[in-house]
Amino acid sequence: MSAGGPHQGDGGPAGRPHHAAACLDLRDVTVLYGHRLALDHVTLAVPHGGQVAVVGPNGAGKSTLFKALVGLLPVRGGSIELRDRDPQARAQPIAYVPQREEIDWSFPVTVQDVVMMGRYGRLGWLRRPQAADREVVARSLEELAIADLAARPVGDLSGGQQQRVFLARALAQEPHVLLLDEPFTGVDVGAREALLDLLDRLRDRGITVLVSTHDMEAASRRFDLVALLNHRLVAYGRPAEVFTKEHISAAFGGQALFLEGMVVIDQCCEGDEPR
Amino acid sequence: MIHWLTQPFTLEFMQRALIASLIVGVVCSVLGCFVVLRAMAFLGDALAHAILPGVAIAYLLGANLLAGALIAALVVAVGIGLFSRRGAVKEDTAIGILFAAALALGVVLISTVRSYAVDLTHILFGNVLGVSTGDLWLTGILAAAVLATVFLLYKEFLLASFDPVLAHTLGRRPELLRFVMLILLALTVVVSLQTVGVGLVAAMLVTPAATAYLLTRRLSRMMALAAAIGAASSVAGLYFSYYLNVASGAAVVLTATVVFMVAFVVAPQRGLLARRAAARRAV
Repeated sequence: MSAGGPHQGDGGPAGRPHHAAACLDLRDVTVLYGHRLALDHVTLAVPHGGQVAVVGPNGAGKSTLFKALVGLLPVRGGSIELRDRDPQARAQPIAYVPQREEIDWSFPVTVQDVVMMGRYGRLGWLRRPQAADREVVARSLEELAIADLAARPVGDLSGGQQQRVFLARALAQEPHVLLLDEPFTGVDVGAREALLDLLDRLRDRGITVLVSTHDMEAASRRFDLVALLNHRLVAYGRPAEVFTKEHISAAFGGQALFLEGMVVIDQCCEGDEPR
Repeated sequence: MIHWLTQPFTLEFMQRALIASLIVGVVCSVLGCFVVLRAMAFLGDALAHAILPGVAIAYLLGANLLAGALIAALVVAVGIGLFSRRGAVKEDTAIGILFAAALALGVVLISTVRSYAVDLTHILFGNVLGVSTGDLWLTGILAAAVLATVFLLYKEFLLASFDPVLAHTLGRRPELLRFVMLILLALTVVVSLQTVGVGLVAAMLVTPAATAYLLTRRLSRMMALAAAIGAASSVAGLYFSYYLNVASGAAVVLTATVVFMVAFVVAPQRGLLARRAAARRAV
């Protein structure tokens, strides 16, 4: 593991060797959605600095998994354990970037305002942002190459730019774990590549990343680990071990078509088009 | 002209009316920004009507009307807060039932008094010319409390309004903030009782803030602009009321509405003309 980058926050674990203990440890995690089982005894350990693609059909519980991890949904059974590499680090462990659809983009805030919100968790109630916070925000904007948009209202931006704003905000939280929900959906190829580059840089800094996606190609090409999810964990491991015909059929059922060494997932009616 | 402007305020009750109107114009407009952005307009209106029984009881007991309104408003805010958490019916349905019932109860109580029609009109539509010095103090203190809370919790309210999910993950308790917002809304309604009355307070909460929303793209500026529009509408409305001899609260609300209409047409980006032009350019 390399030395901490500029985003390694106060008391960051710069250059510390990485221990075998998992960063994120899920045991038999069960979450209900109404009366249905959204997640069924999911057991999963993610090493520090690991990058995991969470793949599965629509409604398989990918978003549910992330929401349970950040405490937005109650966990009915099992346990979630998060270990900071540095126990002294101030608690700001998980940053979560939701799907773009969940935000009111006509709200009167600038890019700078939104990224600053990432600092609020560290600021505490009543305190105003300090110079140090503004510096972290400026760095996060630079990192996502949107510093020139800082004063613009978020409603004026394109879908890809809005996503970068939310990524910058997540970086401003200086998290140990970053959860990205469907970041490849509804963005153009350029934004997609920029995101994959960012993931590479995060890997160098030892930030653990979980990304939910339908994009099996990106998942197998760019991620260390893949979790194939359909309410229960169908398979988890290196992409080559996970993406077998058996596992994919088990996760996607009739949606998966196998053609000459290639898998096609029939996911019509996805709502991928930008609003 | 100068005489025309200063003449109304040589009268002491007009001076008190001016101060009360300015306070209401500012505090409603500032809090109104959150009401507009969080789509709480219906809730604000409901809250205003729901305090009527409290006012009526205070009136029957010969107690201070504002004190009665304050108690009722806090009870109703707590009630709505609890109700909307986990209701058997949808939130707006619950509010609709609650506020119509409260309004009816208020009318029943007030109708037991002989001078019913006049008193009800004053409560429903305000009577800023009848503001006493004591009322002015209470109004000022409540308004200062509301503005101070908005200032102190600005960052929290901004976060909870824009992105409740992030607020939650950062441990900011969005439900608690919503509850605080309801209390502030209740206090604001009480502050507005004498100037615009329960029937028109929703307009003061929504109209200047909506006008500011059309004119700027940043919350802090939206609040400042809304306060200026609210204050200006209050003063202008008071002049209209004085010289045209019409009801003051309604005059203030109509003035604010005209300002909104102008902004709706000519606002730089969100106005009708600008959007038309943008659509034409896009074709």
